[in-house]
Amino acid sequence: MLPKLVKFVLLTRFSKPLLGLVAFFLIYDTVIRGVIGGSGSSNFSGGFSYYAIGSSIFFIVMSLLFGGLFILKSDRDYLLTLPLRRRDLSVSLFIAQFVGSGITILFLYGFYVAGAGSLEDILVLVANLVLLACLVTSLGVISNILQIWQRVALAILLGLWCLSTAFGFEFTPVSSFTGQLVYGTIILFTVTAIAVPVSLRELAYLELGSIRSLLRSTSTEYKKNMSFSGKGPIRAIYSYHLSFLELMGRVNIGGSTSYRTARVKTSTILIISIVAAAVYVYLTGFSALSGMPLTVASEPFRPAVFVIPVFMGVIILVLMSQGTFSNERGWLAFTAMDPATYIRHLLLSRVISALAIIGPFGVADLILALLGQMTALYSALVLLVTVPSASILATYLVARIGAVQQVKEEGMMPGQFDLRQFLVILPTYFVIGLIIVSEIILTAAIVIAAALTVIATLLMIVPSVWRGIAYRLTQRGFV
Amino acid sequence: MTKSYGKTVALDDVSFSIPCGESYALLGSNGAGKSTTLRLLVGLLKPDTGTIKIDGHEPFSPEAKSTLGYLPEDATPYRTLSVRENLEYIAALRGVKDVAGATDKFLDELTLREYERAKVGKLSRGNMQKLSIALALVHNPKIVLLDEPLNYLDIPTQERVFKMLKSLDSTMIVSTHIMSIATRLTEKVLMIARGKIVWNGTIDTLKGMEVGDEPIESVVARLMTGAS
Repeated sequence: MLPKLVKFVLLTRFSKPLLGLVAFFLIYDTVIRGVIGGSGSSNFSGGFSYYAIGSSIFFIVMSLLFGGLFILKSDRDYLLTLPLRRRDLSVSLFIAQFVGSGITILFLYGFYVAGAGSLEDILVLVANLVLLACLVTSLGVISNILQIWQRVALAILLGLWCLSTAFGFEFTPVSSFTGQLVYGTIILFTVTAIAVPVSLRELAYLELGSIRSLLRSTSTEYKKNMSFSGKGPIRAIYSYHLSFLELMGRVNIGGSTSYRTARVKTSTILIISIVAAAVYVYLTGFSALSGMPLTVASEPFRPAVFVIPVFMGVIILVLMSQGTFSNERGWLAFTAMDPATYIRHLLLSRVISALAIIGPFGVADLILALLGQMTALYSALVLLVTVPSASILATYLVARIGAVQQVKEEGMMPGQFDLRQFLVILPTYFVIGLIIVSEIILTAAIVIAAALTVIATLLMIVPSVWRGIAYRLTQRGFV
Repeated sequence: MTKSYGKTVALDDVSFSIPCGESYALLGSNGAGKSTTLRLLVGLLKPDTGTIKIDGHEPFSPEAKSTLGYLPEDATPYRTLSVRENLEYIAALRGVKDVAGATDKFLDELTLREYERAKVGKLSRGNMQKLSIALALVHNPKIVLLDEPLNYLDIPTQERVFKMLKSLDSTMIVSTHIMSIATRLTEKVLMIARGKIVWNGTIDTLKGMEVGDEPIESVVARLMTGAS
């Protein structure tokens, strides 16, 4: 029964071409690139360590914050009502979760493992990657039974714990990637051994846990309502989208498994960002402020000037490209006014709210540049110009290729994921590439920022482009 | 007009006009092209060939937008806004002058007052449908296009909606499978089968085609099947 159930669960969640491509990437990245090509990385130092630690933090944090269940509405109505063995159900759903989210880790770092050195080291690192993939998978499930504040607290805790590896702390779940194979493996195994059974149990009794919690809060009321009284159409759009942020995450191969909104005021986000940016300026430029040479204490934070624009670029591109249209209602917005007008103001309002997150860091980089850190000027350009422009472009591309799925039920997959949703991440990778180049060469930073601004502006001034997007979305079942 | 989705022809050279003030039932089997017709009329889709004029204007023009009120089948409002926020937001987008007044009117008429602050994503399907009807009518449209408007509604609410729609001085197209809705809300019928109009006439004419005790549904089924 289990194999049949696994097959059924996988094929109802992922299209065959998508599964084929995942298998290809897995083989290509772990076997062909790793064994035949070699990674060229020098064991446990430099590039691989930073990359592996940073990526691990990214996946752990994103899974906790945005992780969702690979559950369809029809599962709730049919699959979960069938007389299936709970263990079979739980294992099948875990495999689907693993394929959808955890597997990414294997093909993002798999090929580096070949450069680890001895066969023993390679085997231990492979085991670490599998454990990490299981941990990320489990955290995505566990996040569903946590309150927002619990998810944020756990994400910060685990994130900082993993980050401490970069500063030499040996006892973390990712210290294997810096060469601490024994401690790292033991700790990662322990954490995973706690997380996996919890998630398996949750998947076995979904209707009593996550789904029930989704259904039972039928009387959810907002304490404070937004008012649109006395506002014109355009002001209403900005008022709505600047009041709070709608968060939608993608930490999997297909798209978003859940749509979560948090009524966080944009002004609150701005204050948090300003405080974080002030800390960032202090840590990366303190010695510059005092007019003294760099101190040893501030040196480890210097990579942040490079890493933060990349990390924020990814976050903003994901939030914008996936989230802008997913909660839109064409039958309301596109029939109330010209879709071209509506979408363009919607995009601008989203860019402004994105700037509330990244803007303070851009300004902080300008301050650092004035204090003499010229590389920070590149980052300022990226955060204040490249990322906002690129996010408009990415939103357009995602909608144009029809990869946006309208959210009709929160906490569940909007439909089967197909190749289209997988490939939609490619523009994001392309932009990340542009951001990295911008961080290295000033001329490139200026040219890329200017080019993306021109493209985004041209897109924004042509109404037929956005009317076409509205038609496209409607044709894809977006009502 | 003609409209295809890839190789599937949804509407094949369909042509009709609805005089101002009249109400039509749009009847057709599943997949006949009823929803596509409404989406084309409301400007959510563009015909491959042909033209559409709403009161003499293109469907995406501001003039047509302010005239039209549209309710799709299984409509979902903004799930993350409250009931009141949905109504106020759409009223503001539509340029309604008294946003709060229009909102209050529909909250009371459709007995949504107690859910005013409720998050829409947590409403029952029936209350969501009530809100959707209110959203389609909040700007007092001259032309109303409704796709299965009474789905999910309890009987008292259905009666309330009947009264509300009958009291509108609007041109109306109601897509439905339920003949009692068609006969109570409209006087004329536009019947579509496999993307073509197969019958166009009055409800009375349709009733006149009944043979013996035959219900009107059988007449409709006969016409649809005969067409296919």
